[in-house]
Amino acid sequence: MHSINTLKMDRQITGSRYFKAGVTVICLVGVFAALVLSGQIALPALILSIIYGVAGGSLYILIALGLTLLFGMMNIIQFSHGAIYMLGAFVVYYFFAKWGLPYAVVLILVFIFLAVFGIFVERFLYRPLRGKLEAALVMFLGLSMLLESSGFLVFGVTLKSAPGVFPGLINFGFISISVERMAIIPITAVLLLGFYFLLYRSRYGKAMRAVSQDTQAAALQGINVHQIRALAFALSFGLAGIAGALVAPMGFIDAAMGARPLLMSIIIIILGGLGSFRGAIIAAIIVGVFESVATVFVGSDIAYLLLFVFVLVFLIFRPAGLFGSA
Amino acid sequence: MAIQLSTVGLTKNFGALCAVKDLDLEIQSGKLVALIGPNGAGKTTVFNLISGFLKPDRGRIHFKGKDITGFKPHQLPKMGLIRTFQLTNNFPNFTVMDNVLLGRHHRTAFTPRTIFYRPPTHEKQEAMGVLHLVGLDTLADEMATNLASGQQKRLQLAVALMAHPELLMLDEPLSGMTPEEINFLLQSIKNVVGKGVTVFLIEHNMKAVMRICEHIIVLDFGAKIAEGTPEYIQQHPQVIEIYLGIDEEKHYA
Amino acid sequence: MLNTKRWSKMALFLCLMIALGLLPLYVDQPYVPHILTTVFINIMLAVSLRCSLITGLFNISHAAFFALGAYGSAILAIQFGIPSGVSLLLGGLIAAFSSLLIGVVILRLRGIYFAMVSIAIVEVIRVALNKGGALTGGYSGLGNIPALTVFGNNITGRDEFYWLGFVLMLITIFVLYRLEIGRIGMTWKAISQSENIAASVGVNIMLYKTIAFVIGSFFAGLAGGFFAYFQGFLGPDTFGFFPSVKILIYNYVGGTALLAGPIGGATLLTLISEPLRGFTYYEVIFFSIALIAVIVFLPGGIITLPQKLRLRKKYGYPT
Repeated sequence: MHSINTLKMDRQITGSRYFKAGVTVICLVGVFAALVLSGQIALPALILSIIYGVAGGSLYILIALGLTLLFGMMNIIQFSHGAIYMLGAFVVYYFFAKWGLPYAVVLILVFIFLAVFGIFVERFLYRPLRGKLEAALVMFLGLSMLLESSGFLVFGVTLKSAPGVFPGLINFGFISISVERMAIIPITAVLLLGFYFLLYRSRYGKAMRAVSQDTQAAALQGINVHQIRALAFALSFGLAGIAGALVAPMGFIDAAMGARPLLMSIIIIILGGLGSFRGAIIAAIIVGVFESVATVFVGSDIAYLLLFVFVLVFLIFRPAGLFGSA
Repeated sequence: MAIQLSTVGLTKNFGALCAVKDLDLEIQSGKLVALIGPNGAGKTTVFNLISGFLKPDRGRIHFKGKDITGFKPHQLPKMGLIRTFQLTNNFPNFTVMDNVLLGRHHRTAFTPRTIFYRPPTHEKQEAMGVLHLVGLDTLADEMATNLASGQQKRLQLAVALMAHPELLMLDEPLSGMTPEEINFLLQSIKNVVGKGVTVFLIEHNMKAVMRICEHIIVLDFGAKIAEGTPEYIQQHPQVIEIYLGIDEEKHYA
Repeated sequence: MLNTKRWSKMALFLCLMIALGLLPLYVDQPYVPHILTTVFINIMLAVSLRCSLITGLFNISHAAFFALGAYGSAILAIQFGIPSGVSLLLGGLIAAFSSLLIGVVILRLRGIYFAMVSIAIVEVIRVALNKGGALTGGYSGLGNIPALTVFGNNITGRDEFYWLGFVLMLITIFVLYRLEIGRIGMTWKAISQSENIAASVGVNIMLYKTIAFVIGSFFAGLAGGFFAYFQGFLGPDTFGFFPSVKILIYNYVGGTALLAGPIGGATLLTLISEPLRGFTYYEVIFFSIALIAVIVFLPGGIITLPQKLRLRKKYGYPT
């Protein structure tokens, strides 16, 4: 059974992995330098796209962490996570854009709503399955389709948008960065810190890690596995919802917006290694930056294809991902 | 006595961990050999290496004179090498009968008869014969997952026997058994050896091992530390040390 | 096994087949044979996917081979002038051959990775068909599909398509039923339960997975070729991720334990969703609710229903 790699376990076997990750980063830097020097891309544009890539990666971190947590709990990839992301954006649309509640309040509401939804899903949709993997996979697939098409029904087909929250640009000499996008990074950092404390410094976090490693042993220790799973669902759904809420003021909202981030997040956790938080975070940043820079070059569709190919090739040589256990 | 299975310099590393270190062993055909050692010594890894489930980093494996290093697991039963597993015992959603019928796989010719029709009666009769040997013939239609753990181990043996092994590698065949079942199984194993099959087993049950095995190989931290008859092994100081521990004061003084 | 239970089941089945066979002669309006023909196609798809499922392959790419068979047959007939009946068969072979090439690469992947790569496959093929230009008709679809002639008979009317579809479905069910009964089916089921034990008795896992994948794809391609002539034109959006998932849903709602599962699931879901066809969102909502409801409340699928009702009658309702 895959278990969430604790930070301590990672340290024992990370020697060569940090090296490999480091080498990858150096190669990327080299590629970027070559591109700039050969005039293919202007340095300001490159730096801008890298920074936006980090912001995009931060969003992916929020989704990927939830996916990893749930993977540790259930041993499957929860396919409806993209729809959760979408729901977060729609909550922002209604409460913030249409009904004018302050953004910070709406963020909290998003977390609460989606966390409650997560508890609902665990109790009524996942628990009856008694741990059967195939059934769970199929069920989440169905749930994602249900949420997305209901979304179209309820929210309509036209694209929506929400007004920006943090207007303005920061100027660093030759580049200007939109504050809106940059704001994602500190917010994600705060959430990440909270996540870390919850998972590694609290009793509930310990319980979650225990359940992910060995459900029976955890139950024997008196841990209410169902409750802890519900907590994990609530946490993951909440984070994904916040990711959607953060994105809402920036672009267009529609019921299908979750599909692409979900696919990217799945690629990320595979790249990072199923079940590893550290891997998910690092892979999310890598993918975010890659996507951002490659889109500038070759357009988003081919960037997407390239990413797919890269991950596939990577998997052939290292099927466990960056930090995963085979 | 011909040497049936031999390994030379067999080595397997998992990252920084050396699971099997430069192992040389020889098993003569028709013998009953045991591989023992403390937990984590690498015994199942050795089985995995020999039976093709893992590729060795170094070393070669020879079976019946042929170099089988790097062979895929499904190529070995045809040559007569059958292994069982410690944990995953049987096909849980199959009946006992279906489990045993699967053991026949590499011996079954693929004709329209076998492809498009249910298994023929003579196959089922053969299966019943093997089930009788292990004492499970009354449970032939039972779902494998409903069997008690001792019965599941016996079923495992039946499936292996159905494959007509020349070398039978059993991974902890006695775990989870009552004393009566252990006696029964040991007798079955002796019968099998009596028919000319070589049996190579991993076991923790020392009494059983000392009782029936002719040759014992001891592994610790991936390396062979002793090899010989049961009497020799029982007296071997290093073996005693790894099983009973050492007098720390004397050792570290 | 000459017991009465088995014979009576067979007799029932035979009666049903005869009734279905004679149906067009007694039903006048063309709607019923038309929808039943669609049911036959979906049954072929669901049953052929079953090969992958019982081998333990969570295959979401099935619609891709349906598409390859459909477009393959049509293109062969249109561009190369191959007789339509032959092109039907060739469509199946094209699908099978492509699945062989694709399978060699992706079948070595573990469970969840295989599932996701299969999603990628079906979407890539859909996109490729969309961008196929004049060959595949691109976004607007492929028309000009000539009339179907099989062994010299022109298949043009509703009834004739019905009978041809009926025959093709019966052939599919018969072949796959016998495969499942025999050694190959047993080996597939063994692989899905424990690859390790199977390998230890001599099963070449990769070979059998490939056989399951290819045979399933062949029948999907066959269904595709028939579909091309039946519908008269092909639009690439009929094949993609959701159609593949629909075929999976036929299997899971119907039940994965028996061959009757996909047959029942395909029949039931096709008939019930018929009024929804074309209203995309409602259709998706219906299918997903049906799926979730069955998975949560009736995990074995619809075919377990008679058994459950029987047991409940015998022992009462659980408290």
